Amino acid sequence: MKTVLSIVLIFVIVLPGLSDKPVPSVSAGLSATYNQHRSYTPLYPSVPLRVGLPLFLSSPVGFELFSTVKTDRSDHMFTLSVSFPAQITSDNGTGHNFILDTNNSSYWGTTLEYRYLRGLFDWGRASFYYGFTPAVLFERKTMTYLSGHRNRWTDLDLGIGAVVETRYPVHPRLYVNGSFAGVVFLPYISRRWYESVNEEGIVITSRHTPLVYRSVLEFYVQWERGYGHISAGYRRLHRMGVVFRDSPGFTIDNIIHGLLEREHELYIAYSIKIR
Amino acid sequence: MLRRQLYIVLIIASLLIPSGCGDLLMDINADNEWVVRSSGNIILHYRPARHRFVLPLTESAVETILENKNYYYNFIRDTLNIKFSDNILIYLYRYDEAFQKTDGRGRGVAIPGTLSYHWIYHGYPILHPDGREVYAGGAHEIVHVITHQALGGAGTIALSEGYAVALDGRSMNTEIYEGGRRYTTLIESMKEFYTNDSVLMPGYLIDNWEFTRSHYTNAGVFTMFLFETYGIETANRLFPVPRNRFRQNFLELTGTTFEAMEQQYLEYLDAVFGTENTD
Repeated sequence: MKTVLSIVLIFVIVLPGLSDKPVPSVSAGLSATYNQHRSYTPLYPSVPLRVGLPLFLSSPVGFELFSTVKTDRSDHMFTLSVSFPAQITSDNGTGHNFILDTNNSSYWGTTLEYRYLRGLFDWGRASFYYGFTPAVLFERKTMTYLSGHRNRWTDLDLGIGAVVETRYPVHPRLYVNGSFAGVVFLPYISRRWYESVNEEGIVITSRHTPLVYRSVLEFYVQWERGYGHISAGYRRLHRMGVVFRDSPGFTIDNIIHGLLEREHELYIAYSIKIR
Repeated sequence: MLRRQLYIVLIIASLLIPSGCGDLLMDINADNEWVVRSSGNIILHYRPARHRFVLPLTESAVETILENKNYYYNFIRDTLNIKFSDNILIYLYRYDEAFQKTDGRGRGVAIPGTLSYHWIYHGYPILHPDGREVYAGGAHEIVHVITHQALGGAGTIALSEGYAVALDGRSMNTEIYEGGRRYTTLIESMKEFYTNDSVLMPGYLIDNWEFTRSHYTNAGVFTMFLFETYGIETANRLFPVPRNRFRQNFLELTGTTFEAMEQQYLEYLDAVFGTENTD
């Protein structure tokens, strides 16, 4: 219930700019994404995160539905990203998988994100923007080991962060854009559920509390064409953080796991002006 | 033209600087320079001859490591009476390389979800209390991997470490003997704490864990007590219970209050380490 209320709070109460009037333009679009997902092996938070092997790899494809509302003073961007289930494999460092049954190991996730942007300043033809970005992330990772043992993590993370963006027109119809967003997923309203089915078929479940920082660095080119835009871009996503066994707390007697993930994503998008 | 290039450089810099913050905190090392040797369920990784952190490992040392680790793997599985057949990946590092990767804390680190552990190779074998000459520790880190996977993830550090110490049967300390260096036994180590009136009670271990020899030793003996008094099956069911529910679940699983168990534990220590058993 607390999680549901938090989603409502983030996406309703913190959208002050939507009351800006008039609304000069609204556009909506669809994109196709290809992602290279790497999940590393981190250590405890009290130890620097310096061990990377073995690592886990997946390459999910997906799509995004997005809408942009531009007012005189601000931009509002809503994005729903969905990645289809993709196989996970492991790499011991020399390219071999000694751990996972890849046919039964999968990763998929969905992200709902809002970005509120206001103009910061213009410098020559380049425009700088700043704003904030609440996000909800849901994902499920199933790792089935060669023995048949299965671990499954389901995450529902809610967070908020800051965003900066630049736009540079290299041609009246061609823009180069770049942005950076850093979002902190907050422990008191985020949850991780763990389910383990061991080789004897015994099911053990537990609930955990994550504290995760996610950064998204993005570059894309956008070409205006008639009533729409065609875009192609690259995103680099990093996630790092810790997952607490009980309630959140950096006490030494708490069981704490590290989390360290890096993604490279390519996408193409098409959007049309609705208004 | 120069002004336009300056703009572009500034724009890119303004994005790259904040995006690099994460890299200051994490330093991934996932290089591919490893020799991989396997036997049974153990996959051993160590640096090749051309590597700047190459290990002084002979072929017979590699064979001994694989043989020992398979022995401990089977011993743990059979002792805990559980099914477990996955591979375990071991990464051996020379001390100077390991110091960079693990900040020099401890000898090894297990990461159970990845079925792996990372170990600092000390350059010479150490005699284990079970009579084996070990190059990469005893059973300790393998216990972590197997128990966290098969029993559903540890709920408390006290039982996580307690299982590892109890099943390994050795202390964290080593000492010189006429044949080289050996690990002291868990019993020898606990006798010292018992004699010095430094016993840590189970409730204290669960609620106030610290990574000290005293905590490891006391947790190991407490786990031995659980095995002997309540049986392996019951202890295995306590393993994933988090500390905030430990006392309640202990009562439900054993029919004994936590306080009554602590009293039993003191009597157990007196029986094992008391004056009549000092030899």
